[in-house]
Amino acid sequence: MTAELPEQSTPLLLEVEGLHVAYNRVVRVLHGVSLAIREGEFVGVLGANGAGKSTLLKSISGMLKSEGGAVTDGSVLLRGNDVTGAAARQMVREGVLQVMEGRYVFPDLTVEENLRMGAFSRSDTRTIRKDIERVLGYFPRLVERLKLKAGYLSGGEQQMLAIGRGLMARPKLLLLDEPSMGLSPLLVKEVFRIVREIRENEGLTILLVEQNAKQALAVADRALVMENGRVALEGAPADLEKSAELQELYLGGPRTG
Amino acid sequence: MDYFLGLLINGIVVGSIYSMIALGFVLIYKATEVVNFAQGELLMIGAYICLEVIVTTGMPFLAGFFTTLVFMTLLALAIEKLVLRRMMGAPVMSVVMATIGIGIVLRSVVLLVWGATNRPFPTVFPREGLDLGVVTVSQVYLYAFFLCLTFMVIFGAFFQYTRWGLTMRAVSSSRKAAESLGVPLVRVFALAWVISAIVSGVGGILAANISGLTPDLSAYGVRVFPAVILGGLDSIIGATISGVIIGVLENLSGGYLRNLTGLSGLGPVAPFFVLILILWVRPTGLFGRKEIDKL
Repeated sequence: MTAELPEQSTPLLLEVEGLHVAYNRVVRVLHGVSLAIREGEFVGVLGANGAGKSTLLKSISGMLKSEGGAVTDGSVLLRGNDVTGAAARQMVREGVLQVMEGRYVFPDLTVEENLRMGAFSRSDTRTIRKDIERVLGYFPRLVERLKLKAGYLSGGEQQMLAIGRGLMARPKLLLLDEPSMGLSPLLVKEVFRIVREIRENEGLTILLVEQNAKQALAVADRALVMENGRVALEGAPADLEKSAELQELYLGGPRTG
Repeated sequence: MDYFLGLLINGIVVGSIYSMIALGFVLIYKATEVVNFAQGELLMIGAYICLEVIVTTGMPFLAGFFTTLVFMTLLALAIEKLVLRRMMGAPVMSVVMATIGIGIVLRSVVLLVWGATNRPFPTVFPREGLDLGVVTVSQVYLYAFFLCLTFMVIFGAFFQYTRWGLTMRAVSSSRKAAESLGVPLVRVFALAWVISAIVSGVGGILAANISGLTPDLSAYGVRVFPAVILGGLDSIIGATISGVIIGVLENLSGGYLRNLTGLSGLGPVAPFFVLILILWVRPTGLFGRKEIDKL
């Protein structure tokens, strides 16, 4: 299915067309997903466990291959260039970075070293110090923990560090995978407040995958609902919120594996 | 007392060589999660290359030394590219088997080219004793010790202060996070093999300097194993300290047990007994990381 785009003047940043993805050649997870994102947009992807949301992000960020997944059909275009199946390394250089689900920080490295690693793919290394300060501006909690090993941070702090580390790469398109996972409601609120702040200040394009529909709909310009590896619904957050279908998908819909 | 000090110093020197080789083990393990069973053969071949360069070309030792380091670098890159890269994604056990195979191949090559006879290493470091006041120590031992120390400090600084050192630590901490930030994992694995081969080569040259050169030098790989396990397979500092502990243990027990029982050759066995005792109490080794399980 073709994604319906809102009337906007900014150019297209990302186009995903008819994407099919399978793991280990047999477990088929995506069955023809299409979406398009304009520069500066904030798009939310909702859906139950196993709907294929994370897989969608990984097939954009290049993190699919190391998990045994591969694009079997369809394409991913970045600014019109075909980047289907490109490695994470290339995508990070192109400005596409995924903040992985489950807070993948470097537990044995200090918070500061974690942030420095975020800038790994950048060639302009002189501004790294300054960027660390800029990133810490969003996460004041991390300032006093700079010399602490990231493994000793709380769950919320680790999530913040993971997002902050992603920002250190100065991405154009930030892919956020379930930032609310395992966090208390209060922390979820804080993380989403910060994400919105980042979006406003950095002029980033964000693709957010989230099970917490309420929070995602509150921050996104536009949202998709995925089910069984397909896009089931798409629209403005306000419309989706009222949609009976969304209610059904979330509350009564079949859980998929 | 002199006997004790002599054994102790001997042990520290041999131990510092063990530390280097243990560092080689740990590096590869931390980066790639593979225990490299060809470590002993790597150090053996390093020693042979160095000897060959010095003897056949008549080059000074230092030239032979650096030629060996270059050779070890190329060898590591070849092993990584021809064998290990092709096994990416294979079960760890298969990769470990592959390293055993690499070890056998290297050993056979050495036997084919140089034979099994003991070849004395030309005197590189003066062997005359140096009077340290309480005890006299052969100078070759002191050179070996300080060379090991230098290499350890260099690599320690590399890991702590350089971008690639940080990157290697990052990969060993979370491979997936590193990949998601655009780190080329293959290059990090290759780098780990290169550094590991270099420290092994240096260790091999020093060991051959002290005890002569036969293919049996590869047994150092096995003798270092208690140090690696004792230190906790994933701890660089642990490997360093444990190397020295094992060296001292080996020498002291070897020296005293020989007097006691009249049997020589008990030295290398003792560390394994202590190893078993320690693992009984601390299964992750003395310095091994207990996973930080905090969510």
